[in-house]
Amino acid sequence: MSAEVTIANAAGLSSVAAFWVFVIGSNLRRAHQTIERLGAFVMMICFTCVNVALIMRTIEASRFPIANLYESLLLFAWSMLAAYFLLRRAYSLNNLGWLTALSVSTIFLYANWLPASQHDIAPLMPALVSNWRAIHVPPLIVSYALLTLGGLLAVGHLWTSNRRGTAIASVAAIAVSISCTAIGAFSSVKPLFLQLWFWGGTAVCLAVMAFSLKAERLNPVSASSRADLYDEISQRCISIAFPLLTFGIITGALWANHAWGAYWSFDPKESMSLATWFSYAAYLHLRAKADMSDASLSVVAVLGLLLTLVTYFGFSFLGFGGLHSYGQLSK
Amino acid sequence: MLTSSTEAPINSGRLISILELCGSLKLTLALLTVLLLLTVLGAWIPQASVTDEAVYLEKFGTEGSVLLNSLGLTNAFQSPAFLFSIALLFLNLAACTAVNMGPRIRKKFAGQDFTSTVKIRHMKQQTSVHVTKSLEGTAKDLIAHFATSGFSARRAGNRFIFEKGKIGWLAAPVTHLGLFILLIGISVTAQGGYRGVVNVNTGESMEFPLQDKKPLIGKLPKWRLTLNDARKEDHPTGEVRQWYSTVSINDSQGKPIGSGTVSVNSPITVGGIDIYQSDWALKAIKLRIDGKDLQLPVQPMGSQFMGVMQIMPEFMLIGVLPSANAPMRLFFKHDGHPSPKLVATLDQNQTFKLGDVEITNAGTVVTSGLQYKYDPGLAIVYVSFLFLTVGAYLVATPSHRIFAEIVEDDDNNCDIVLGSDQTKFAGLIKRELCKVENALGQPNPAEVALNER
Repeated sequence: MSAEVTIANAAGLSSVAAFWVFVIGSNLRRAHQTIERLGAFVMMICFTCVNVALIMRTIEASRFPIANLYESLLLFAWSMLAAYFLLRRAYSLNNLGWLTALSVSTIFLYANWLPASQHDIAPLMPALVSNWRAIHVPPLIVSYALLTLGGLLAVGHLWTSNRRGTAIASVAAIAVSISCTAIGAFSSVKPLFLQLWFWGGTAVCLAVMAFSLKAERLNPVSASSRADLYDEISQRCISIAFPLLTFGIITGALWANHAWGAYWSFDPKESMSLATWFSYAAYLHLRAKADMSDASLSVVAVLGLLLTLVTYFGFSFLGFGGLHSYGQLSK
Repeated sequence: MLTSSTEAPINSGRLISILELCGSLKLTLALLTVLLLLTVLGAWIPQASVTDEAVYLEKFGTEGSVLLNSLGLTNAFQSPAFLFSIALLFLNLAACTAVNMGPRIRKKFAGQDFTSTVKIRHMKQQTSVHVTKSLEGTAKDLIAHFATSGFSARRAGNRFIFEKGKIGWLAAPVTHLGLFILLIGISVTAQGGYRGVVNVNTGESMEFPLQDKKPLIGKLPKWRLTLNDARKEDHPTGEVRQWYSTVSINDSQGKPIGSGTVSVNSPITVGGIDIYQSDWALKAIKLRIDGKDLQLPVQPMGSQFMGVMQIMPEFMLIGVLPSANAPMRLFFKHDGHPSPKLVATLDQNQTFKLGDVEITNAGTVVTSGLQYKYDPGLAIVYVSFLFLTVGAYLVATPSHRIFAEIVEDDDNNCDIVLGSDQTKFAGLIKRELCKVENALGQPNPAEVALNER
């Protein structure tokens, strides 16, 4: 195992440690602040390790380290951690710690379990030998990380605003996506079965979400402003991620025109990124113009999160092909 | 006291026109939902433009394939539903711009209307603060307070408008304008552009097959493209690093127009036509047997290329090589022997003598897949990309506007009525109103709760 992979694993372990520190801290009233600070410190160790791993990989590969799923996951984790520190500073929301730590440790667990070929530094194929790779991919990965945080905070908002049924259905929908990612990556189940599980499971969860949201619309909202804060941070994450997503899609189009002679080919990955863009465009329109409840907007944010997960991981588990198939796993 | 009003904004009383219907937010959301669903289906279901019929039959069965075809989902992005939705979305954008953006932009330049207490009290976020000061003293404090939070103030008598982040409101107009420009660019491309792929062997030349292309603007060139050289560059580990094609282009009289080397991610432009490297293949091994040139067609076999030729009824000649310029291994197979026999490894132009027969490795034939494209709308599309990028960045820029009116009572004390109808970043407005209460009036429970989190 290379030093860089060892450091990445150390980052994963520290994210798990940070999660437990935050969990313990949230259950202790007296030492809560101190333990929360300790958790943030452990998260900083994790962040440092990710930075070192990325720098080492850049030096070792002599290129910007974004060429396969493993490398993109490292950047995804980096983005989530960076967003956590910025949001912690801006909003002083303690509960963001365990959520970020849980997400980051899940990413590292997944990255660690990927086939060994993903951890190796492989030579680039002709289409990827371009500076556009460093311009197009990072904004997209950062936007995915922010959209994921935004979606998870929307679930937090549903929970704290006494929409527990909707929140549980949202978690179930996210769990279906994650389970598909895991099954698709680590087993040889036919893509058709995975697609049925994914679309069927998601459809059922969405139906339950819609039903629960309607049933819970009159639930009293607690006086705590935490729900409002979750909603505001979720909105903030999405409104920062949206321009990054737009920029990523546009630079992708510029690169595609340079490499393939067409700025848009309706390739599955392009199409899914467009679908994600449509969903967040709808969210922003609803947020800015419609008289819609915060809970309903949170459900739209969760829908966006599901589309983001399909756009990012869909190629590895749902059997999508197309021009971006170099992102697929070779098992 | 900080309160949130759920009452609808005051109805202007205008009749709902067809324009308003076309530009309604509900239509926007419905169209975005339809486009989203069609796009997801188009991404999931392989599209006919890049997929064989057999794939549908294998994946969805006969009935499923027929159903998908009849629903137009095998060509989702050219389906009437998709194109109709796109057309409606642009109609919606145009109507929305006319109905909402126009007045909004005019108002921005003409100056925002100052708002009365009655209207402020109907706003989504509103509060009132009691101050034991004179009108002028209160106004001074209010302006000073908002100035510390970075707000600029405008005043007309007792009425105020406090604004911060003045460019945020441009997000929608700029993005919508970008989408219109994109539509224009795509239309120009569709009407005036053409594209295609030619497969050329090394040393050969061919005309651009443009007979079926009919651009509205300009003439089709009658050019001849010659592939002078095609080579592949490998990584030290053996994987392909890059493909290169050296091409020259002459007009119908044979006059040179341009030349250059094309590779993936590095196209060349000749006379406005872009030429891209899109494919590369080793097609044949060139052999010279007793002075007679012949080609041994090859097929990829794992990491090698192999060609087989029956040279006598009981003898087969087999040529194997890993890449275009690598030495060729020559095998012979006799019907009486189970496995082929390696007889020679030949570098290019090297000769081997088998009995009286001279066999020379005369090199390889490489086919280069070259894409050509003429896109007169590209510059317009790029301008639209610029607008879309700027518009999207403005989305993340908060733009706050708070209305206020100071009402003086008989005791020379004042009530400040503040409000905003903003839903974008409403939490920030809420906090700003709380700050005013805290700074100028009595502390209130909402502010206390906010500080307690």
